[in-house]
Amino acid sequence: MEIRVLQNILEANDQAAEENRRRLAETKVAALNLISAPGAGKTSLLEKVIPLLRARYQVGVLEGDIATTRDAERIGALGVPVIQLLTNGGCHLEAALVARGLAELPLEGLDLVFIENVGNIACPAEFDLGEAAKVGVLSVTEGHDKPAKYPLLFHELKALVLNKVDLLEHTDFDMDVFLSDFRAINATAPLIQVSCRTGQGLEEFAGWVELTIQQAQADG
Amino acid sequence: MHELGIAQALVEQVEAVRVAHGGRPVLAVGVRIGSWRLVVKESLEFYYEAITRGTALEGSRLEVETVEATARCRRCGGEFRVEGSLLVCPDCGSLGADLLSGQELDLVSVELED
Repeated sequence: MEIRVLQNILEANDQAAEENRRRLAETKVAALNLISAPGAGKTSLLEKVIPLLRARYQVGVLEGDIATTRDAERIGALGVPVIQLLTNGGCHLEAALVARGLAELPLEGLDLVFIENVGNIACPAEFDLGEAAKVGVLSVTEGHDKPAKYPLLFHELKALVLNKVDLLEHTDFDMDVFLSDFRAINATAPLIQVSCRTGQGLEEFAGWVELTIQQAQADG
Repeated sequence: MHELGIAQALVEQVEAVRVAHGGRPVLAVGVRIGSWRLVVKESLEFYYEAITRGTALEGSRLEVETVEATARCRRCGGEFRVEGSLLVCPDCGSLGADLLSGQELDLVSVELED
C-alpha cells in the first residue's frame, strides 16, 4: 500500500522558523543569520561592527558553536547580551535551538539580533532560522571559487561581506572570476568589501545593517 | 554533511505516517530532491540506513528522485536547464536568473506492507 504525502522534509524546522519570525516581528527586532566557513571572520566582524551600531541601537547576539563558549566570551566582552547555543556536534543551527536562545534574550529592549551560525557553508544554508536575512562572510584567503562550489548558500544571501581584503595582494584570489560567478548565482545581494584589521568597509556594512533594522521597525 | 539533518527530519516524518496508518511495516520511502540542494544521494542513503537500524523502519528502501534545476532568465525570459552551479542564460548570456525548480526537498510517498 502506497501512501502519497508530499511534505517538505524540513517542514518541522520551517514551522519553528516561522514562529521565530513572528516573535521577532512582534517585538520589532531584526535578526541576521551570519554564515561562513570556520575562520572567515564572523566573530571579528561582530566585534568591529557592534560598537558602530551601539550608539543608536540595542544589539543582542546568539552564538552558535559546536563545543566551546570562546566566541560568546569575546562578544560578551563588548557588554551586549549574548546567549551561547551549543549544537553538541551538530554542524548548523536549527530553528528550535534559536527559539530557546531568543527566549533568553531581552527581546523587548532590542533592535537587532545577530545569529552567528556554526562555521560551515554547506548545511546552514538549508535551515531557515526565522531571520530577516542571511548574511555571508567569505574571506579572500578561502579562494574565489567558493560561490560556484556552494551555490545554494550564495543564492540565499541578502548580503555578502568579503573579508580580509587587506590580504588580497598576497593571495591568488581572482576578483573578476569571483564577481562574475557570484553575480551569476545572486544578481542582487550587495557585496561589501571589508577588512576587520584595517577597518575598511565596516561603516558600509554597519549602514546596510541599519537599513535592515529600519525595515524591521517599519514592518513590525 | 547536511544529509544527516535531512535524514533525521525525514525519519520523523516517515515514522509519523507509519503510526498514522496502523503501525504497519514500511517497505519503501520516496523522496524528491532538487539538484540545487547539493544533497549527496549516497550520503543520504548511508545516514538513513544508519539511523533506522534497530527501529521500526529498519530495512526500508529509500528511493531518491533527483529533480533537475531549471531557471528563467531575468532579461530575455527564456527558460533553461541549469548546467553546474551558475545561473547564466544560454540564449542571451546574461547573469542572474530565477530558479524554477531544483530546490525541492520533499517526502512524496511511503509504501507500507499490505
